[in-house]
Amino acid sequence: MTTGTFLSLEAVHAAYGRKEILRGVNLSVNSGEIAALIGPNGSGKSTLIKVIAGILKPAAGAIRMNGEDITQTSAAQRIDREIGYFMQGGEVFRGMSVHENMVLGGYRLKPSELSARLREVNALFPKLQTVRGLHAGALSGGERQALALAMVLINRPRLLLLDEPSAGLSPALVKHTLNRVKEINEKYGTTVILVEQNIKEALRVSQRAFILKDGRIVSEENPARLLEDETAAVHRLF
Amino acid sequence: MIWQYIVNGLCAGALFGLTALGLSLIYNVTNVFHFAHGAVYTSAAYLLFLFACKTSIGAAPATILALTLAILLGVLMDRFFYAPLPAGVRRTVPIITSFGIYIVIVNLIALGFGNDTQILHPGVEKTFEIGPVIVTRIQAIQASVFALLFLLTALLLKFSRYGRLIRAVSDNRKLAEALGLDIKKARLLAFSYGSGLAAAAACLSALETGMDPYMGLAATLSAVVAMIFGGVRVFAAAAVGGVMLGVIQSLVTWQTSARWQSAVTFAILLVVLIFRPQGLFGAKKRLEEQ
Repeated sequence: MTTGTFLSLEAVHAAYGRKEILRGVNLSVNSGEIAALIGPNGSGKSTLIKVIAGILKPAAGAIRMNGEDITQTSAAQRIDREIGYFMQGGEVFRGMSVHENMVLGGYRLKPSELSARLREVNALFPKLQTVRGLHAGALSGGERQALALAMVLINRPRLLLLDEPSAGLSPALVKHTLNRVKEINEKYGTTVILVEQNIKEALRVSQRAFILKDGRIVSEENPARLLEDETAAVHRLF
Repeated sequence: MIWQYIVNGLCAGALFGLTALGLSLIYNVTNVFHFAHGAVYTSAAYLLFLFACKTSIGAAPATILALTLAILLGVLMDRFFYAPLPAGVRRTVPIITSFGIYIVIVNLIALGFGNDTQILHPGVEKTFEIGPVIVTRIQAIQASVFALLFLLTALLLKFSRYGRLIRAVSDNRKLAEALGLDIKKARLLAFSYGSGLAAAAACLSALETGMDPYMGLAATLSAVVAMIFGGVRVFAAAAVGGVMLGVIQSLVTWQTSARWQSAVTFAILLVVLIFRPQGLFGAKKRLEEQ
């Protein structure tokens, strides 16, 4: 169920040093929808996610969430505004236990809220409860992705930014991970922006797809229609 | 005889261990190779000398004052010299900055107090006999302070909110930023606690052998070797590496002479770097982490 514009980007430019990656991105995502960002390698998908998460400051343009200008806010302030960012590859603190990782995910929560939120994510990812004392570096790829997702979800984000949540996973686990994203979206009404190498799976769970090429959104597509004719879609995308 | 050298080495190593633990905290959290740690070390000893011998405030307030000011010095170094460096600057820039700070401070100390060794605690030291081993009162204090601070640091790092913050930032800084962890606080904690450990080691060393303006250089070099020897990425390993280095140096003195201590120390460093770069207690990085 989607309603009204939740997030909008207006002519956003971003660069790493002198190398411009985003060249005037315009994008609007509705509340409660899953939007897939699709494009060839180097098109700026991860950079765009970083800009929305507040990790990279845009060189120009504006970012609005629910109408409020958040362009100049820090990554920490965006977490307080309920934006959750899942880093590419599912990063965790490898030298720390699973439980410590989860606690650190909720670092910005009030101590009184933390235990209830830990119970919530433990219910969402019961497998993690069984390995809570293990070092995160000892987990399997799938478990580590689940932990990274749990660390983001502990803050109950209204906007979830997922940068390749299924990178390095087997096809079965990719499906499982993206189904889990869909479940979260339906259960909590979380708005999701998804960057995913596995385009077919990303299109399967999303309601809209934005095609990014050379740092610009070149088109907005209906995922179902793209899935109907995959070959034509691949030609159009790349 | 060997036991006496081992005990002497353990006590000397305790000081290397404290200095190395402080250096390791700072390096792992900030990625700054804080060579000016040696200037904090030297300053702490001279501050203790100043307050204990040139005023009548008493030993305990003099020690507390020296430690506090040394901690402040470490924090100010970060605040004014390292923290303002832009992100993504070449790694050599903070190292050169650090050398600069070290040289300026040590020369100021030499200007103020002269190059001669200053004695903090003249006279014959009280000793204890434990079997075949003679331990001086200062050695006993050195070993006890090391054990206490090592345990306290381990407990704080493992169980406190701030300890978790320090470990998280040193484990994965990018993720820590993405999760909104307070990186500035972690930095402040690392510099203050790390400087405090170096200052404590300096005061304990000054009690035993006095001080000269260049004492921080040897202490920092030993701390660097201890850190690499134990394992750069493991906090406790730096401290244990320091103790082991102290024992090795003492045994070298026993078998050859004190002149060979530095040669053996750096030979160990080379061997470890070639055959076990992750250190004795460090885990090898997985390919995906490199």
